[in-house]
Amino acid sequence: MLSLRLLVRNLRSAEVRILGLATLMAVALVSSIALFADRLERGMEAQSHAFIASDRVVRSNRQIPESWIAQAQGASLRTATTTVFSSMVFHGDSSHLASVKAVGEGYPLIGVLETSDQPFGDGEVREHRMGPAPGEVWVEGRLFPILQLNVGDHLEVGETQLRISQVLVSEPDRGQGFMNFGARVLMHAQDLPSTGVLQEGSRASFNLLLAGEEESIDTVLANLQPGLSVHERVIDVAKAQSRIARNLKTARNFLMLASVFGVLLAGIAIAMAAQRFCSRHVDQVALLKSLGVVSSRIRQLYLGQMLWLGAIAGGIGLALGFLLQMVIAESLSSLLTVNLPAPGLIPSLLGLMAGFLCLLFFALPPLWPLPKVAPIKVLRRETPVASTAGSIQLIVGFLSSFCLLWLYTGELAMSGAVMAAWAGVALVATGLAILFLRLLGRHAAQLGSQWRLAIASLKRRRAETHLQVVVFGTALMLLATLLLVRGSLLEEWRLQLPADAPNHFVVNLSPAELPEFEGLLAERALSHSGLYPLVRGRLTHINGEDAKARALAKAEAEAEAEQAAGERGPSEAPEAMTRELNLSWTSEVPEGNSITDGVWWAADSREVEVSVEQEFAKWRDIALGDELTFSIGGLSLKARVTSFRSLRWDSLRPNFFVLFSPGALDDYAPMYMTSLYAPADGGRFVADLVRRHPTALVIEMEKIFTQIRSVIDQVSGSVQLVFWLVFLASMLVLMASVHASMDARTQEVGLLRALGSSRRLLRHRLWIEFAALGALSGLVAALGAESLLWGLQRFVFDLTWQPHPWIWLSTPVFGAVVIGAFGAWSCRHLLSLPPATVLRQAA
Amino acid sequence: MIVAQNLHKTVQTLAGDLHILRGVNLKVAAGDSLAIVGASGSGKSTLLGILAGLDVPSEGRVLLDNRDLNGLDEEARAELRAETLSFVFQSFQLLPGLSALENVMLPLELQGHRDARERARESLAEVGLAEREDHYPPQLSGGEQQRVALARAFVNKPKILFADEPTGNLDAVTGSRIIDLLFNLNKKHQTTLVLVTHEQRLAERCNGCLVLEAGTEISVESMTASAHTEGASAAC
Repeated sequence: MLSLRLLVRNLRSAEVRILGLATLMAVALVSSIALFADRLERGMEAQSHAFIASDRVVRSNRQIPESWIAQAQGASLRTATTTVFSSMVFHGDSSHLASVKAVGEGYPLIGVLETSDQPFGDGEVREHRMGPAPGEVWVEGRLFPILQLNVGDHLEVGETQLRISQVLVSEPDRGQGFMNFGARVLMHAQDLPSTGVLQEGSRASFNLLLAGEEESIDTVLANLQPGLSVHERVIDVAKAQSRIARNLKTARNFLMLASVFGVLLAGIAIAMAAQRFCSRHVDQVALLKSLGVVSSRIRQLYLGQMLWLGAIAGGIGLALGFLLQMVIAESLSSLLTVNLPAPGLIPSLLGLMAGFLCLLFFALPPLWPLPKVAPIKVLRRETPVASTAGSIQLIVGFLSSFCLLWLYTGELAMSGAVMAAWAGVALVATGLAILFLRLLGRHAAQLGSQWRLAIASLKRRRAETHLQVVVFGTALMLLATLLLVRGSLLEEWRLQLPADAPNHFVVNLSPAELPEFEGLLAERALSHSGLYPLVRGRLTHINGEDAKARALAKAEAEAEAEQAAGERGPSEAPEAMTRELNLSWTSEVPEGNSITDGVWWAADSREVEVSVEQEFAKWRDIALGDELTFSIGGLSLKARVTSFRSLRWDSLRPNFFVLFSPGALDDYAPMYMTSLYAPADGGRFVADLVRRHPTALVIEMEKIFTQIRSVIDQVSGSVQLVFWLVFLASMLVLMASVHASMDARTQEVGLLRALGSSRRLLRHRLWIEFAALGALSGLVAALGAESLLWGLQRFVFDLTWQPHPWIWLSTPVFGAVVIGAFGAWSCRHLLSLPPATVLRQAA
Repeated sequence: MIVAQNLHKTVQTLAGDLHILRGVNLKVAAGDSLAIVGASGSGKSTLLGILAGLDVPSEGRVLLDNRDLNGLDEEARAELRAETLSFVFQSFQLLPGLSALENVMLPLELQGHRDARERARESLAEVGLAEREDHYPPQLSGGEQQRVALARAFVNKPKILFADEPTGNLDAVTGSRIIDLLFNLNKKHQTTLVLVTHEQRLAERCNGCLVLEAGTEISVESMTASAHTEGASAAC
């Protein structure tokens, strides 16, 4: 307990408070992310049985045959059917592209539907074991403000009107941790025909839900399996979850990376504060030794203090982490379709451990020699004191950061790569800091004595200055990049589109509707980007070899290669390789497409030829001349690959991975699609179009943009929260650094005051020093953010790079103001003391 | 109580070996007081450090409370210091983050005394600072700080008190008050006192006196004089 008493007394000194704050920050950062990720994972696990609202689902792109249902019911299984599709829904003049689900009797087989009388959780939540009655719909809360709906209103779905009887709060098989874009409209399957929305060839997912004895399910599925085409698949919970789990892990690791970066900054602050703590405690240790305290007891006393500090700061950090994860969960609540359980113990422990590890790894090296202080130092102040070499501290710090990363992400290779990247960024930032400081130094002389003094101070503490520029520069860079990605990337892409680029996609037009559709466009003087027939099909064989087996073999070979090389390359899951494709045909090379290899078919070609998008072909090892077999509506079609194409996905025209030669798909009941530009008219054109063509699906890009923006805003809000914490951790480094230089600063200020410098002049000098530090960091951040953005635009989004002039101005200004104010504030007490006191303190 | 025989201290410097002490002998009986005087750099503090077991001689031996320090390692010497000694320093050596009371409590707390707070209060009262127990060192004057240091030095009832220039940082009037207080407490607690000083009036109040010559060399006269310190006579 003596350690605790000593710690409480030591808390009066700034360096111990910095040690505590940094530990608190590390725990808050890691525990908030760990707690939230754990809640999400457990929430999904808890709902896993209800995840598909059944034990198994047979999913098809055509109507479920009655015989299947009969067969399942014959084996005493409970069954239900659902049909999910996108469709425009209307209320008055407002429309929305909704995700409609029509459910039959018995749905949900497992789990419950939750509804309320009021949108946004204002009303009481009720549980149901069956869907809406015929003639009624249950509508997701977010659709209410979009369409200005009230419970009791009628919603137009295709050609019918359905009464909104409940607000849909949750459904057991929403299917993903994060939402689909369209708001959910739940209706009864009996009403489906009256909507007239679904026709032969319409894009929809038909599901047969099964629940019952595991053996009976297996028997029924074994009987069904031979009759299942490539368009049908059986989904179990594990399959439904694996993809989400993978995405979640990536998201968790990304946030964990950011928080471990914050922990690293907290570690730097800890190392600096520990160094100061050590130098301030040399006399204390010498005194304790003169009082007869042995080295081992001193080590025990100091270790005890660190452990108590870890426990107290960790406890407060955990409470803060708790609050933070609640804020994150709240800000993402409308995106989450999972009920989050209470925060767990293990992530709390993980968070606490981060604090202890950070404190021990970063504080111990500077503190280690402390118990070895010679007792004679109490009499002979000039007695030298051993200290841990800076290089050893650096190595320990680097290795411990690596260990923390590995521990919290569980990815060895990634941790190594991230450490290497950090080291690279630190090196570049240090180089820039040296360069900027040299330039500033060269011109400071012309700016007057205050500038000269301020820049001299920065140069005198060169190592600390470089470290701070790296630390703030990186933290500001993360924030600036996030703000750019959040605020302007989407806008810039849109700005790069021509003003009359298509802004509507129209899908699901039957051949009979085409003349009327073209007439409607002509009436309004609009033109489309070409009508493309569309059939849905799967690639089943390549040169007679099963495409899925090929994809699996390729995935395995890649996994082995990855293991051998110790790295992870991009790869598509085998399911994705054989997913259902939109197939079309055309006589001319479509606009925006260009042939990269092979020859486009001749107008009079009799052979069934295909032109394949080059990336699509590359991932599937398809070569020119290969024979591809497609399954379309249960029928098989063979075609020869005669060309490869590249295409511009951002042309906002219908684009296809696989295009056939004319006539090849005539027998497969195609629906047509196109894209067109229609000026904003408050939705009247869309309303008119869908009323005349109820089966047509209109995708309004403006609404999609709004939805994407809303998702980006919510997700980046949470990321931003973490990044702000990282920035706060970087402020701790400043605090520790200012504190470490306090003795020298005290002496400088005392001397300058004694020599007649006014308080105002000294205050200006401090402001200039810290503001210059902040501005330099901001400049490094702007350069880093702009480079990252360039990389993202050039290589990830395939956009033309655009400079962001405001970031070059705002980041240095922000850095100068924030760091200038904080630095000047940290030294404020030096200015308010009389010079004699300042000099006595320094002595 | 304290016996030093033929003490030598040599340290290595870039310019070669530096001899700080050359064959110092002394003996101080229990309850006696000895002043070590000499100019700056004469080796007074080095000698004090060696006598107190804070440092080791290059040659010679020290018997402290009948225990030969040469046979003890640093840990054992520390234990002996905890049981037997206390210090008063020129620069007071109060911990700035601790209040006056906490500074006085520290030696008792380190020895695990449960009544540390009460005893520290009594000791502060003895030096007339009961009212200022919550003040921190920077809030106290030099004289008050040294009184806190005296309270700390006597709080665990040491057998021997080593004082290194106890008035060195104080003005004449305050220094004289501190000297009075030091000798009163010393008498009251029957403590053996060894103090380093360059103040004549302080040295004169001790039973014995050892003169170290200016510089690093110890003069033969001083050594002879040191031999006289075995008795009660003073060579100052």
